[in-house]
Amino acid sequence: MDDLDRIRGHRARIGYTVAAVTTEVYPIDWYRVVPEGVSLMMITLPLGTRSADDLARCYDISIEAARTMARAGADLVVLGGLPINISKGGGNLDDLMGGLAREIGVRVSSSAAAQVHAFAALGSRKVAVVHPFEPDQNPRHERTIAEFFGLEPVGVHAGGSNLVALGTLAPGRALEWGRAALAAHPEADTLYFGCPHWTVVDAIQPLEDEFGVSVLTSLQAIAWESLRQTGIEDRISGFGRLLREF
Amino acid sequence: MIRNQRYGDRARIGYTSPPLTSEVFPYEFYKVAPDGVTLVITTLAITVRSKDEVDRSYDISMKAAREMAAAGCDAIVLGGVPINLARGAENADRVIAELEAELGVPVASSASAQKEAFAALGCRRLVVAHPYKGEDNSRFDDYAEKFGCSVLGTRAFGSAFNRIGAIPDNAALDMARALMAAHPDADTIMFPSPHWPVIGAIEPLEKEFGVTVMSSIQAILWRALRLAGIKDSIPGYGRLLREF
Repeated sequence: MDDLDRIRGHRARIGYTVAAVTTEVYPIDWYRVVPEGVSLMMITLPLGTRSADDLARCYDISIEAARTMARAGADLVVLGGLPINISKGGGNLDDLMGGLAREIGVRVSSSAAAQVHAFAALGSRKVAVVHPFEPDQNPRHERTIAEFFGLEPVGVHAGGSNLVALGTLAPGRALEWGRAALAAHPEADTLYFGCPHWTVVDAIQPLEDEFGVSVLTSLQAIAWESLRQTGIEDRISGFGRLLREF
Repeated sequence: MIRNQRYGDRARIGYTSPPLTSEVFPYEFYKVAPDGVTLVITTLAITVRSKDEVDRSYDISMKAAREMAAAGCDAIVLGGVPINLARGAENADRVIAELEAELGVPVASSASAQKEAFAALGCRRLVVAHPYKGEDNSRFDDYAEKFGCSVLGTRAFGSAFNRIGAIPDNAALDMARALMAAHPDADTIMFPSPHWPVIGAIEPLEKEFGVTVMSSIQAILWRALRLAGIKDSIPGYGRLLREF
């Protein structure tokens, strides 16, 4: 087939619900990581304060969005936003995704499931967390690592930013905060960057090389899950062990 | 050595994207935009372009523009000519002026960007190739006339609105060549809608036929860059981005 006969997502079209009103960093980093021919089909969600009502509303919109993306021809739908994914309890997430996949006739995954699978592939046990938000989010991250992922949280580093400012963070911030987290918690075997809407992809490989740990980020896990679920087994260099080895 | 500049260190462009799902627009935006320019995007509610969807999208656009200004965008483009003009052309101009005054950020719409682009390029006699079904032909003819041009011929790819991400790269090129063969006196090829792949067709068609190509995505990006103070001449994607 001539290149011009191809559609943009000729290898795979990935539907993704973005857990934010606006998105900026995600599509840039997505296209830096995935191979040519894998496209991103996005729907932004009206996530605000992350209150229970807010999460429930976004959950319902995500499900409707999955139906829309299936009708548009997505090969896989990934429901974004771990807090939204597990807002109805993480325990039945596989059942919910399985039921939705049967209904829409397209495979369904989620940010939460992608990260479960990625932690398992990497053999992670002791996890240091870096997130870009205020420290008041630390307990939520510790609970998620312990209770949802079933791993040991060894410490959390908060960047002190907020949802509105995520697009303005320089790539050096992730490296700086990752180094601080691993210096404070040398027992960690994995460094986890929560939230795929700030620039972290440039920090993955340097931190793995410098500290000999695995680095797992939300976007990297979602991209990896998307590729493998759609039968794309390319080994991708430069963004950590997950995409290179598994 | 890690980069220490944020992605949008030159300009961050807010854009409200009408289709409920956005696929082609971000990809083509980054093919054309200079380094240091980012897209801050909110998807709206259009799947079939019903009146209810257009009304809801208009409301979401207004909220999204405020979110984009709060996030620090340097220019905002309200996408979707049908949404822009849903409450009349005069209202569309007033909304832009009021939003600019309220937000302190330059604002344009897809409609105003295309109007400015047509004027800059001096377009007069158009052929129009669009991704949708033939029943949409007259809508695009009307828009072109609003922009001060006459339409010599129109071709429709025939896609449903929610399937335009699955249009192959060569569709725009093929339709435009057929139109130019039928209407060699056209001075401009217009590609409406920024949500199907067209950017690869612009430069080859301008060279092959000696005409101007004016596409929605090119106009939106051009207007946004200029509003954000970026005056770069961008080669490879037509006269508009290279000369104006």
